[in-house]
Amino acid sequence: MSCSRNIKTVGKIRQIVRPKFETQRQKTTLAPAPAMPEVVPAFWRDVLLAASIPTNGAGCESAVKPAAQYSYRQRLFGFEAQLSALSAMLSGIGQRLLFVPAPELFAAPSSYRPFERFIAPERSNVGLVHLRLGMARHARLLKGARNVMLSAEAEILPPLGPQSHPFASGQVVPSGFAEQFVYYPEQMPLRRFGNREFARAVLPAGAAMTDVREALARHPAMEPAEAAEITPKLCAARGLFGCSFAEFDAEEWRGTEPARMTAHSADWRRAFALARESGTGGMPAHPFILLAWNLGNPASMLPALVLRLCRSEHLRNSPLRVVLFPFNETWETAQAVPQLVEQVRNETLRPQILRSVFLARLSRPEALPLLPALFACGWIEGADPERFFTLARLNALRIPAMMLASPEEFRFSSTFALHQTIPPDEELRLRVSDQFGERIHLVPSLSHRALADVLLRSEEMLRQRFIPARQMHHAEMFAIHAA
Amino acid sequence: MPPKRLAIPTASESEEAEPLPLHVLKRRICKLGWTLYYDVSPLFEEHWTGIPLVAARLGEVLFDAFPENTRFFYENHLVSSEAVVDAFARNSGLFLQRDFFKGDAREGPMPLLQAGSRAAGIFPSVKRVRRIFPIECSLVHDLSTLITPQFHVFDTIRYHMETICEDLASNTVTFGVSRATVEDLKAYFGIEEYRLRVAYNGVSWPWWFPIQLANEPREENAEPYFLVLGTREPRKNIACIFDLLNLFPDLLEDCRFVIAGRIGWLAEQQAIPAALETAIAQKRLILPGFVSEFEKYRLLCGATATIYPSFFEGFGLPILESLSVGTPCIASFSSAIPEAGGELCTYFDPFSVESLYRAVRKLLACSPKHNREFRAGCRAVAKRFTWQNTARQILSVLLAEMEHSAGLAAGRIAFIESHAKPELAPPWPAPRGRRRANGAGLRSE
Repeated sequence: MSCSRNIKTVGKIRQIVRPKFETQRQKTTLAPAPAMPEVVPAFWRDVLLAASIPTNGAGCESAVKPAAQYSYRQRLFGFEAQLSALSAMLSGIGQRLLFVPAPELFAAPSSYRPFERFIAPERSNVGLVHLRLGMARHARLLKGARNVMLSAEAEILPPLGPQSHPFASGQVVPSGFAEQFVYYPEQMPLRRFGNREFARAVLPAGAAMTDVREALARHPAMEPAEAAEITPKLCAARGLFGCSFAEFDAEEWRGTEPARMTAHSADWRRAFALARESGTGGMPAHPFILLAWNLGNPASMLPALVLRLCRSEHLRNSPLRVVLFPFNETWETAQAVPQLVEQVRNETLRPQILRSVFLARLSRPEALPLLPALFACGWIEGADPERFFTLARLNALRIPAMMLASPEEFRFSSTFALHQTIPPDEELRLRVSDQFGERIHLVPSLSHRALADVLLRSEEMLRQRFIPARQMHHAEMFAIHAA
Repeated sequence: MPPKRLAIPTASESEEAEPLPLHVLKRRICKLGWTLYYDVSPLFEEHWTGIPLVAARLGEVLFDAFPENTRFFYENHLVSSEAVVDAFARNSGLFLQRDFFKGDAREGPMPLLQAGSRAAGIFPSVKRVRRIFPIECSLVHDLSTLITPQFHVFDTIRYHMETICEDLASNTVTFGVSRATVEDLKAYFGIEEYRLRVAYNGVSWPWWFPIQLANEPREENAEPYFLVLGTREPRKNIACIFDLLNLFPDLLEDCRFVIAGRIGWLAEQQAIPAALETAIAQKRLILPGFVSEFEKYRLLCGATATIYPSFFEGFGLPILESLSVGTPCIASFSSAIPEAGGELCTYFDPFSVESLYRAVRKLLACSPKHNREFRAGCRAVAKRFTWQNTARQILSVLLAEMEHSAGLAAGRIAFIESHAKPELAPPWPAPRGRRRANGAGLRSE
C-alpha cells in the first residue's frame, strides 16, 4: 500500500473537551466482573459454530480446529480481539467455537468431513453456523452454512470518485449472508450485494470485552502504584512484547511471539528502568501512551501522524513515550509496519527520537491486567471504522481514551466513556493503492499545533491519573484557595 | 445410532438435463440461421495452460462442429479463422497474437448487430467488450481473485474485478466451470439460479500421443515418482509439498518427486527450503519448469500418482488429466476439486502436511493404478468430461435462448398470453421473472 499526502488546513484549532466520566479522580479499581451475557442468539445453540477472520491461514495446520487452539498474533484490538471475546463469551455458556482459516475451502460434501469429528456422538444431524469477523470488505462465506457477519465497524469515510471493485466501499457484503450482528447500535448497517436488505441485530452487552473481563477476573489489574513492579521480563512472560523504532527488525516482527525482540530491545528495557527511577515521589511511573493503529483502515492518518510526531520537537521534549499497537493485520497490510518504520527512520531529523517511539503486541490475555498500570491514556483515530470496539476495550481496561481528529458527524453515545475528543484541524489527502483499486481519501487529521496540544493534554492526564488521590485533593484545595 | 453428519444442503445433482448431441444442436442452430461469435482474447498467450487451454479446446470443438457458423473475434475486430485454427494446431498463441496486431489476421471490424440479429457471443473468460450481441454468455473459471486475493497480484485482481459486475449483468446466461463456481456466483453476487449454468471442463489428448509414447524406449525398473502439475504460484500450495519433503525426508528414499509447471507470480512465497537443495542435486526432487503437452502426457502416464494440493480451484483440470490416463490422484478437498475427482481421488486437508503424508504413504503401500475397477472409473471420467460435452452444455442453453429470440416460440407465447394459466416451459427450471435476464437485478455497486 502506498500513500502520498497533501496537507490542507481547513480551520482553526477547535478543541472540545467532553469529559464523559470522571477519570481524573477515579481510583483505577475495577468493578467485579459481570456475569456472562444472558442473551445469545437462539440459533447459535445446538449447532456447530465456526468462526473465521481475514487471515491467509499461514501457520494453520488444519482446515478446522477449535478456536482455543488459534495462535493469536495480537488480541488487544481488531478481528483477533473479536475472536478472543467471542470465544470467551461462548465458552461461558458452554458452547464450543471452531476456527476455520479458509471458509472458502468448503464446497463439496466430502470437504465438510473435518467438521464431523467435532460433532458429539449422540447427535445425528447438526447445522453449521459460520460467524465471519473482521472488515466487511474482506467478508467471505462458508457455503452450506448459515453465514452471519459480526461487524465491529462503524461509518467509513468514503473515498473520492468511483470504486471499481464490487466490495471496495466496505459497506457491502456478499449476498449469501443471512444476518449481521453488531456490538453497538451506533455501528454502521451493512448492505448485501445488489443493495439488498439485511437483517441486523445487536449482540449482548459486553460481548466486545468478555475476554478482557475474564482476564481481569483471573489476574487482578495492577494499580498505578504497582507500576514500578512491571518489568519487560514480566511483560514478555505474560505475552506483551515491544521494541523501539530504532531497534525494529521486520523479520522478528513477523513471528507470533517475538520474545527475542523484547530481549534485544534495549530501548524498551531502558524505558521501563527510567520509569522505575522516576516513579518515586508521586511522579508518573510509566509515561506510556497507547496508540491503536488499525491496519485494516486504508484511510488511516496514523502513519502520517506518527511521522509528524517523530519529526517534531514536541515528543522529544515530552516525557511521554508513544507505543503503537497495530491490529487487523492481513496479507495485504503485513508490510505496513516495516514500511512505516523505514519511512520514519529515513525522514526523521533526530534519530534519537526513534528510541522513544515503540511498537508493541499483546498476544496473551494474561498481559491485559498490566495495561491499566502501564498506560496513562490511549489514543484512538477518530475516523477509524472500529473506533467503538477499540474504545470499548480501553474502557474495559480502565484506560482513559482520547479520540483524535474525530469528525463532528461521528457521535458517541453515553455507552462509551470517552475522556476527550480532539476535532480535526487539517485534512490529509491519502492516495491508496491496494487490491480494491486506486483511490483518494480525504482524511481528517491534526496539525503540528494540535498534536503539541494533544501531548500536553496527555501529560496532564498522566499526572492526574497517577498522582495519588490525597495529593490531588491537596493540590485542588490549594488551587481553590489561591483563586 | 445414525452416522453423525452435518446438515449441509448439497448441490442439486439433477441440475443438468442431458444436453442434446452436437449434430442435433448443429442442425437446429443452422436451421435458425444463427452465428456464433467466439472471443479469442485468452488465446493470445504463448503457453496455453489453465484458461487459455480451456478457451482453445472449446473454440476448437465449436469450430469443428460449426465451421460455417462460427466466427472468431477480438474486441471489435473479426479474427481470421485460418490464423486461429493454426494456433489450435500449434497449441500456442504466439503467432496468432503477432499476426493479429500486425494486421494479417484481422478480418475487418465486427458488424453492427441490431437487437434482432441472429448472433450469439461466447466469451471463454473476462469480457473485453460487452452488450454487442443479442445473446451473450461467458465462462467464469473461478472467483479466486475475489475470494482468495492473497494469491494474486493487484493487477490481476483489478483486471478481473473491475468489470465482473458488468460482465455478469450483460450475460444472458453465465456458465461456471463447476457447481462450486456457480454456487460462489450465487453466494457472492446473488445471481438468480436461472441465469447460471454449469459447463464442466473437459480433457482430451491428441490421438497420436499414446502411439508416440508406446514407440519411445522404455526405462526398465524405473523408479516410482509422484508428479505435481501446475503453475508455481501460491494458490497451488506447492509449499505444502516442500514442507512434506522437509518434514518427512524418508519419502525421498522411496520415490522421487517431480514438480512441473512454469514459474508464476509471488514466487517469493514458495521458495524452496535450503534443506531440499541436496534432494534437487541428487535428482530426488526434480523441477523441470514448463513442459510441453506431450511431455506432460508422458509424465502423467509414468507417475505412480499425481498430487494436487491447491487451496482453491474453479475446477481442477490437472486432476482430470491425471485420471484420464489412469493415474491415481491425491488432491486437496478444497472448493471444486472433489467435483472433478469424484470417488476416484484420495483427498487430504491442504493445511495439513500430516494428512498429505498419510495419503502418500497409503498410496505407496497400495496403489490402485492397476486395479480394474479404478481403471474403469477413469475411463468413465474421461468419457464424461470431454470438450464436446462442454460445448453441448453451452449450446443447449444458447439454443433455447435462440429459439426464444427467433420467435419460434412466438406463437406459443401468444397462445399462452391469451390464456389465464400460462404454462410456458422454460429451457431450464426457472422461477418467475425469467425475462429479467440481460442485466436486470444485477448492477454494479
